[in-house]
Amino acid sequence: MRSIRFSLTICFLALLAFSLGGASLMAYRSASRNLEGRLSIQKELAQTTYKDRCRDEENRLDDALLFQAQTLARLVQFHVDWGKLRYLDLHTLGLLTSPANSSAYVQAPVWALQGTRSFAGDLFRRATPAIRFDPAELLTRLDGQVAEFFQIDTAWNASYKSNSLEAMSMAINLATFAPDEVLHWEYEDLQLNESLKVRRVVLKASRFLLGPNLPALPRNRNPVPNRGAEPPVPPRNNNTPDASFRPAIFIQCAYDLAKRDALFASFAKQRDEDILNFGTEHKKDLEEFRGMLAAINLLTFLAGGGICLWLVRLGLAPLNLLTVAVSRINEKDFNLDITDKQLPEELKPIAIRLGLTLDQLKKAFAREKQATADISHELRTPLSAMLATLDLALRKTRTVEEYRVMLEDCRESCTNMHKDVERLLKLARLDAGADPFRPELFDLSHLASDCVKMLSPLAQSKGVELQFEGESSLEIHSDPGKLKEILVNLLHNAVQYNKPLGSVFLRLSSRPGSIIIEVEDNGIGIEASKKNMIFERFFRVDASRSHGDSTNCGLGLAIVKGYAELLGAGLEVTSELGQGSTFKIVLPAPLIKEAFAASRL
Amino acid sequence: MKILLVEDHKLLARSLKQALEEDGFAVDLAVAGDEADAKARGAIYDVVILDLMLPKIDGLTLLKGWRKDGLTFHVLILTAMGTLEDKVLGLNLGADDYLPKPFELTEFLARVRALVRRGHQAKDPILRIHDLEIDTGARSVRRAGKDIYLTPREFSLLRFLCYHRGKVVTRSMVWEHLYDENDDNTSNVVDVYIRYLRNKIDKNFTPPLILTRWGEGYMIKGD
Repeated sequence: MRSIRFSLTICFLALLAFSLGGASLMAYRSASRNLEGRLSIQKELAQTTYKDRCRDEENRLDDALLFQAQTLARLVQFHVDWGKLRYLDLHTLGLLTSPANSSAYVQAPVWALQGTRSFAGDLFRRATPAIRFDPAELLTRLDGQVAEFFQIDTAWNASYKSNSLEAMSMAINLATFAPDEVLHWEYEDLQLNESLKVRRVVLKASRFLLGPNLPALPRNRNPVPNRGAEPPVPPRNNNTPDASFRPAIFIQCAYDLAKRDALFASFAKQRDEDILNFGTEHKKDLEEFRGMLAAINLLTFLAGGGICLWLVRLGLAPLNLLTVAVSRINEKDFNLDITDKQLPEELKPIAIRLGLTLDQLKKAFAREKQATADISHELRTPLSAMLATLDLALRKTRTVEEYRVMLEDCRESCTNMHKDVERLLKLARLDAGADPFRPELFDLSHLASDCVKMLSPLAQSKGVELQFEGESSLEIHSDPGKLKEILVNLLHNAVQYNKPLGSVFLRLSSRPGSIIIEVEDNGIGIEASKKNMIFERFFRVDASRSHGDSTNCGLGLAIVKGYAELLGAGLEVTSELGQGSTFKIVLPAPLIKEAFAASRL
Repeated sequence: MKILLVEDHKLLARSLKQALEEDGFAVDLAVAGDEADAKARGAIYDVVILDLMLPKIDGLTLLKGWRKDGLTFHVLILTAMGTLEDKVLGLNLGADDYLPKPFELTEFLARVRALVRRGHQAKDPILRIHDLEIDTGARSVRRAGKDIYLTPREFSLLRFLCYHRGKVVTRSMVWEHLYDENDDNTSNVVDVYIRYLRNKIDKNFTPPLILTRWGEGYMIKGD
């Protein structure tokens, strides 16, 4: 497994990168969408501005055209060929024009025309006045005006054309052009020839409304007449003029559309430039945003990485502490040098468990050391005693009696050592599992009384009463060798650690399910605090090592315990200091029966 | 030269005691910690031979207590625990020497004699007074080039006087240093042994080396 620090850092950074990436992506998308929206609005605005400008320009030109037509209408002069008029006609005219009032002058012919059409018609038809302009005035008034072309037509076939028109003429159907109107105008695009397209205004005005009498026309004319629903506003009479007679003149003014288109093109160019600028701006803004986002991400990532390292270090600090404390442990110092306060809740169980284990280990080490020392002592002391005795014997010539005593001492020491070595070997074999359970059918009562007989001499020498109580015959299926060892050891202890005139009982009793062997004495007893330790190797209740009568070096009960475990038997001890002890062995009977049956089969 | 032998193994204690006595030392025996403590504090010993694993009180505790209370006799630790740590611990607690079991009897005796010499600020194992030579190692005595046979008692008395040469040695001093707890304290036993010694050392030689200070005790000539 990789180091926790590494894994945590990688995980944290990956998570950070993932979330940062997601957030950035979303932010970028929303921002770019907004910018796109702004761009399209800007484009639309540019387009609208362009259209507005075009329309305004068109309107301005149209106004200029109309104004020019008006100007022309004011400047127009009629030249009447008086020779063509008859007397009556003149008289009538004189009569009619007599009132000083100019408006009456205008109104009168209208009235006259309305009243006596045939007469007025005749009069105009006969007079057919030609159209003229004062050239000087025309020059000054038309200088710098929009219209390059103008053309004047009349209902009585008199017409006038500007020089710029040359051979061309602006076609107009006089009969159908606003027949019911006295004052009317219309705009129209007109193809003069293949290469020339113009915009014209056609102004229809009565013969009598011309000159200074022409009313001021509205400058703003929206919508364009003809195209709108409503006809123009000029005052009109209730009486419909006679269709057959039209004393009206038609003034046309026109300008080359190419001029206007050039202007429009410049507007379009302006618009395209604007759109291009907007696009560039948009790109720049996006780039700026991307850069900012990258910088923010980088900074956040770095800061996040730093925080992550700090957090990981913070989180792992107690672990490091524990590692250091654990690494300080060696075979000489088993203390876990760490306090509870230094550790977080999560690590406390480990530290506590470790501390307990170390304590146990320490105790085990101490036990092991003690056992080694004990074994050394148990073997080396008799060995050195023999060596010293033999050295002493050989030191000088001695009497036969002296040699005999020394050799006997050595022999006794040898015998004791032999017993100790045997016990140690038994325990070693038990530990190694080399001493198997060897069951056979035998009489437990017989075995028990044998053991009692065996220890009787010792009991007698100590003045201790040793008795066997139980059935005379009790056949069981178990390991007689190990049971004998157990009994001899227990009986030996009971006799050894007894008071003079004390008593030891070996009791056998069988119960359903188990057989109980009890060794009871009324000897010195065992302290309650030491009861659990008596089965430990080399343990002695009194550290007294009275070697003189030592056939016991503290291994007997350890062997008893080991063998009892091997036989599957329970081992209990009840004792009271100064009153005596009882060792109780419970042999499981079902095991006996089953084993017995198994052996029979 | 009186020695306290603290050893709970009966056979070993018996053999060592006999060997030491044959070398002319007076030996008291203790088989348990408490007994050893009582004896060490109750009598004057030149050397205490101490087993560590003892009934009742263990040897190191005894040693610590003795050194704390200002008892200055030499201590030879005799134990089955022969690891370096045990040796270092024993010596650090105030032991003078350390002999792990099992050991050779000759080495044991040599170490005891060395400790005795050290107690008397003597480096040379051969004590020389006038024409008298006492080899404490070989336990032999010569005067004027002539071998003299001495019993262990006589030898230890001579050795004691020699270690205190030029100084008066009282009867009780002799008693305390040369006789163990089992000897009968009869008033003239020291005088008897002095007579034996004079018979062997001073008779037939001049000048007499063992002098009597009336009312005080004995002394051997200085130089």
